This record gives sequence, structure tokens and C-alpha cells, in this order.
Amino acid sequence: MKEEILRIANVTRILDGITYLDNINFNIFKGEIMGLIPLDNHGKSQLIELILQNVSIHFGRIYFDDQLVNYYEHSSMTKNRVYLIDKETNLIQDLRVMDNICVLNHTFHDYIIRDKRLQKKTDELLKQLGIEIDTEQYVSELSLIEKAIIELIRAVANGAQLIILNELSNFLSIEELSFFQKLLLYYTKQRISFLYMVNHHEEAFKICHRVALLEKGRIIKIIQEKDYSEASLRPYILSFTHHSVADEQNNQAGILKYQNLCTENLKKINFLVKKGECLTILDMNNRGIQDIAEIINGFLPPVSGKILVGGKEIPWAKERNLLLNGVAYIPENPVPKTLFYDISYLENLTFLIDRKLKRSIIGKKVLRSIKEEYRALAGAEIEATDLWRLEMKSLYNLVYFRLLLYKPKVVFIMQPFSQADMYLRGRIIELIKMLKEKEIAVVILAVSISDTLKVTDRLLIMEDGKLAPSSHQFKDLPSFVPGYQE
Amino acid sequence: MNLKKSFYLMDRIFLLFMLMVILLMALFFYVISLALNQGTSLFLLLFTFLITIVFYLSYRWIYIPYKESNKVLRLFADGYIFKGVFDLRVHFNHESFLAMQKFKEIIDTKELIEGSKKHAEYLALQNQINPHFLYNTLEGIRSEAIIEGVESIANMTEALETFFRYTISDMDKLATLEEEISNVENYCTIQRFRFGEKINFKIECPEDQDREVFQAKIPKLTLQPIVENAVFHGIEPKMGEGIVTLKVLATPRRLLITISDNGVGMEEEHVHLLNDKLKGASLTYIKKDKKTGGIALLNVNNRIKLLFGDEYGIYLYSKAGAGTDVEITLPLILEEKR
Repeated sequence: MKEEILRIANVTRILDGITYLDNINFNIFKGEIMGLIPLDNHGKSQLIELILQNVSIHFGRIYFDDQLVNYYEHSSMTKNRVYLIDKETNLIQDLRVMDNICVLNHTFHDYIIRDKRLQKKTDELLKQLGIEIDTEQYVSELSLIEKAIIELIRAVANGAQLIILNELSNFLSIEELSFFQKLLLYYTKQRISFLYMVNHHEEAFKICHRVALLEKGRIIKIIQEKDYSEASLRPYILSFTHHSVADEQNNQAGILKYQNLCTENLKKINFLVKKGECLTILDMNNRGIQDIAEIINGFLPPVSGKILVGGKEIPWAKERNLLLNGVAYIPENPVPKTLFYDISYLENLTFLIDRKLKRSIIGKKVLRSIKEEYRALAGAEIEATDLWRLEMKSLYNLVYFRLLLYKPKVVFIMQPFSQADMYLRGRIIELIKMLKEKEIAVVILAVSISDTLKVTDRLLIMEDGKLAPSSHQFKDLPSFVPGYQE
Repeated sequence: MNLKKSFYLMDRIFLLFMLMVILLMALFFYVISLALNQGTSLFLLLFTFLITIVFYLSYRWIYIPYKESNKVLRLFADGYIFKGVFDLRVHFNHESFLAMQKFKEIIDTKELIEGSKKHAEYLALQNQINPHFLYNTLEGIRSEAIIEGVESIANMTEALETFFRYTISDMDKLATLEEEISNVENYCTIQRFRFGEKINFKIECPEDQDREVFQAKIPKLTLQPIVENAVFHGIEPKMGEGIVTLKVLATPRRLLITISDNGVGMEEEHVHLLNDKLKGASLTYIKKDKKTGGIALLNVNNRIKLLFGDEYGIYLYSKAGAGTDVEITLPLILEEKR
């Protein structure tokens, strides 16, 4: 007989007049990995908050481990034995691994910290899982996967019965994710439950026992493992149109060329990207693409090698150099990093235009002309005096429209679909296609394959900082990329 | 009638009021003593401390329970809850508690259950034919069919007769899940004469599930009206083969039954509206035009909530073109308890 760890029954949560959770119903059994695919991100963070802590709800009941912990009449504000793992680590960066696991723990009641005892205990825990991490290392020195593993171990050691995993594939590479999933399966045998939040059903279908779809704050479907198929999901998801790759391959000369580029994590990187082409670099173990991004941003000098744009070598100096030579960069989750909320839409849109026109004062006629040109794309939002009231989709439009206007030769995009819901992912695909139509070369830096295949023309696989010998058309992919299903 | 052991809300207000009076008196004495001696401020500190406690208690003891009770009454008025209104965490005073208990007795859910049951019978029969007349007629047809050697008619008549006997007999009783499933199978047999192979019925149960769960008690006519809904509103308008699947899952406290069909499904807003109605228990649907749809679901949901409480009932998942799942949540009763 299956036992429930969490049961959410008819829960409605309204905050400031907005219904974030609307009569939602679902349960998680002990030892189960329950997938949750938020189709539009509405209510997702409120749901996480509600599971972690028994905050006030408008209606419904929440049972944790068969006990009524929260209901419409009284919310105790107590915390449940639930742990959240996402990109932002909850570990204390300036403490050692063993301190994080053993000392920052509800079960630790000693007055004196005995290092030897802690180390022995932590080593045993890691040994059980076959993990080799130096337990005396500081958390700040760990990689993202190591931090995630330590968080998982810490959660279990802390007595968490349910662990929420928030979009692991946004920060773990395919290899790392695969390893982490093995750990999850190990812990399910110990009756630990997981709520696996993920944007891509392919990933959820691989590991989850059931998958729930969340849309507009409602659970609209729960799919059982035996019903996992593209067909069962098709009525619920947007179909992104596939790009016909081979036919559109152009034979123009390369617009950007990396020649024997080396850094600490990159080993003799050679690639070439053509006008209007979209190239994806899939980093299997999340080591090299960060270095590529840092070189573009001027934070990291290459040890050796050249970057050629339009056949001309670009000396590495500062970010400005690359931008002036037509290389732009869109960071992961670009909205808060690249937009200015207090200035107008038009000012944001024309932010880089002074560099393009090489003058610091832009005439009214030019601005008016830009405004009219982009009104067709942005609509009435172009008149917005600030960005505070714009939706996420409009803000993403602005990030990409700015580059359409600047028209660089190459755009590097770091993890374009990170943290984006299904509707936003569809829009990002359209925006990348718009860049390509303007003959801008696009290089996507990614750790998970996900929707990049909907827009990419060529894929390069990077493993341990080295690029695989030949590139792949995405029609070849299912045979060698884990997690991809046609 | 059990008396509440905790303080009633009005008692708490009175107690706190008395405490405040005492503090004011103390303040009075303090002012006097200050005037007489020009002494220290220690008493003032103590006084401030006590005032803080009073305010804290006023918040925890009066304000929060008052807000919670108001919320419950509002949810009752909006039709979200039914039985929950009688179980306030803190009653306003002893008299209001007694009045609530009396109110509960007067309303007595029996009447509502009765109304609901009668409506279930009505839904099942859809007409006013005398049941015994119907049984006899069906038995007669069956005998004739056997004599004439038409086995299919005999089988169909037998299924119909069994179905009616089960449907009409003793609605008060809880039936076992096995009996309910058998009735659904009978119903599907009858429907298959009409739809042929278009309708298929499957039962799914996890391999590790104890078979004892099929002896669990559930209200009679819980499953058949929902399967009927699935057939008529889901599968009949659909092209091609229709499958109705019944999934049974038990936890130590609950019995979860999901009836899924691969039919035409429902529009999003309709699903939302129905789920909103299914949150609470009310009999208003009986008065409304049957064509508004979902009556069978509301009827079954009402009976479950009235019999077992607001935490049980029905929830619906559906999407146009993707079929419908009806999830029924019941308490797991392995011996009949009324």
C-alpha cells in the first residue's frame, strides 16, 4: 500500500488579489519522484513556498506525512521537512563540506565540534554513494554539481522527507544530470520523495514516476509513467515548428572563427560560424562554455589562440573590442542583467546605437525612425516610459530587438531557455530566428540540449573542454545525445 | 453533547479586558507613588512589559481567531465548505457553540443525503417506470429469448435486469468496490450492445496493491454515473475506439479511484467551473436545468462530502481533444461503518 508524503487538496492561494494557485490537487507518495512541468511558470514559486512552509492559504488542505499541517482556517507558518535544491545554493560558502553536512543540521546537538568525528561521518556518507569530494574543502571551491550533491546529502542528513529539485538541467550538464539522477534513484529506495520541477518533458519522462502539468496555477493533468509519450502530451504543449536545416545551409565564408583557443578549461578550440547560421556548443560537463563567455566579456584572457571576425584578428583586450567588432553576448537569464527598468522602452532599445553610429548624441529624426520601425514588432509597448509593468515576454523581446537594431555579426547566447516557461521558450525560438533572418550568426552555449534543436543548424559537442572532431546535423542527434527524443 | 474545554473567544476578551483594567489601576497607583516619592522608573519598565504581553495576547488570542472564524463563515456562505462551519477552532462564546451544535442537528445531513440519493436514483432510471414491473418484463423477455435460442438477447436482458436491480435496491447501504465495479461492467455490457467494440472497459491496479482493497466500502452508485458520463459526453461524440479505464489505488487512509476516458474532453473554462462546483457540497444543482451538464459528478461528489466530510470528493482533469480523468477520493473503509 502506497503511503503519501504530501497531499495538496483543493488549495487556492491568493496574494494581493492575484490567484497564484487555483484549486490545485496532487499528492506525492513516499519514495516517488513526482515530476512537475510548469507550462507558464504562474504559481510555481508560490507552490514551492507553500510546500516548504505552511503559509496562509485561501482554501484547501495540505497534509504532510498524513498529518493535516495547513488548512483554510488556520495556517501555522511552521516549516515542513522539505528541502529545496536549485541553482542558488543554500550551503554556507565559507564553511567546509563536512560542516555544512554535519554541523548545520537539526540533529547536531554537540557543544564541541570534533573534526575527526565529523570527517569520519561525512566520508562514510560520501563513500556509500561512491562520491569522491574532499570533505575539508570549502563549499565556495566546489563546482555546481558538487554543490548540488552536497545539498542532497545534507538534506537527507537533515531528515528531509521531500526534496524539491528546481530545474536541475539549467545548471547541470547532461553527464552531471545523469549522475545526479542516479543518486535520486538511490535515495528513493530509502523512501525519500522528490518533486522534480523541470521545463522539458523529455527530461521528466526519463526519471519521474508521474508527471503533473501546471498551467495558470492549476494542475491540468497528471500523467502516469505507463502513459509517457509525445502523443499523450501533445494536446497540452505548444508545438514549436522545426527548422529545416539542411536546405538552408549557406556556403558563405565564416564570419567568426576560433582558432586553437586555449584557456584553463578550453583545449585548442577550433570552430567557425557562418552568416545567418546558428551553432550550438553543447558542453557535456559544464567546463568550457563558461570560459568562452568570460573571453567574450573580457574577463578572461585566452592562454593562446586567435579570434577572427570577418577574417580580421581581434586582439583580446576588453569587452568593448569585441562589441565594436560585431560580437555581442546575451547572458543567461538576460532580463535583469541587460535591461534598465527605470528608463523608457525606446531608450533601452537604442542603448547600443551610439556605438553603432559612432556618435554620442542621437538625433530626434533617427529616434523617430527607429520608433516607427520597431512599433510594428513591439506594438504599443514602444511608448512605455519604464519597464516595470511589462511582461516577461515583452522584456525578452526588448533584449533581442536591441541586438536586431545593433545588428552585430555574431551573437553568443548563454543558455537562452534557462528559467523560461513553455510560452516564453516558443517566443525565444522566434526571436533567435529573427536574428538569423537578419544574417546575424548565432552561437548558443548550452549545457542541456532542450529546445536549442528547434533553432540550431549545427551542433558541436564539447567534452572536458575539447570539441568533438565533427559537427552534427540535428537529425543525427537521437543516436548520441542522451535525453533527446524526436 | 461535548463541551469545549478551551476558553471561548468572548471569555478570552473578558479576561484580557480585566487584565487591562488591573494594569490601568496599577498605572493609577504608579502615578500616585511617583507624585509622592519622585522614585525610579523601574515600575514604568515593568508596566511597559506587561502592556506588551497584553497586546501580544490580544493579537494571538483575539484577533487571529476572530479572523479565522470569519473566514470559515465566509467560505461556508460562498459554498466552499459545509461541515467545516460546525468545527470552528475557537467559538465566539459558549452560547454560539451550543447554537452551532443545535444548528447542525436541525440541518442534519440526512435530509441532504436523502435528497441526493433520490436524485441519483432518478439519474440512473431517467424515467418513472415501476421497477418491479420492469424486472418482470425483462425476465419475461429473457425467457422468451432462451426458448427461441437467441442468446445475445438473453444475455443483454440479463445484464439490464442485474443492472436495474443493483441500481434501485437499498440505496442506504455502502457497497463494496468489487460490487460497484461489477455494476459498471454490467453497464458496459449493456452499452456494448449499442456501441459494439467502440467501448472498452479496463481496470488497472498497481501490482503491489493488496487485493483486499476491492472489499473497501464506498457509497452505492459512485462509479456507474461517472462511467456513464464518460461514455455519453466523452466517447460517444468521438470518432474511433473509446477506452474507459478505472484505476484503483489505496493509501492507509484513502481510496483513490480514477476513471479516465480517451474521449473528446472538455474546454478549459468548463473544467474550471466544474472543479469550482466540486469543491463544496450543495443541492442547488438539482433545481437547475439538467442540460447544464456535470450533474452526475455533482451528485456523486455531494454524497461523498455529506457522508464522509469536505476533505473527500471528486476532482476533474480534462482538456479538449485529450480525454478526461475523474479522480474520486474516499476514505478507506474496510468494514462497514455508518
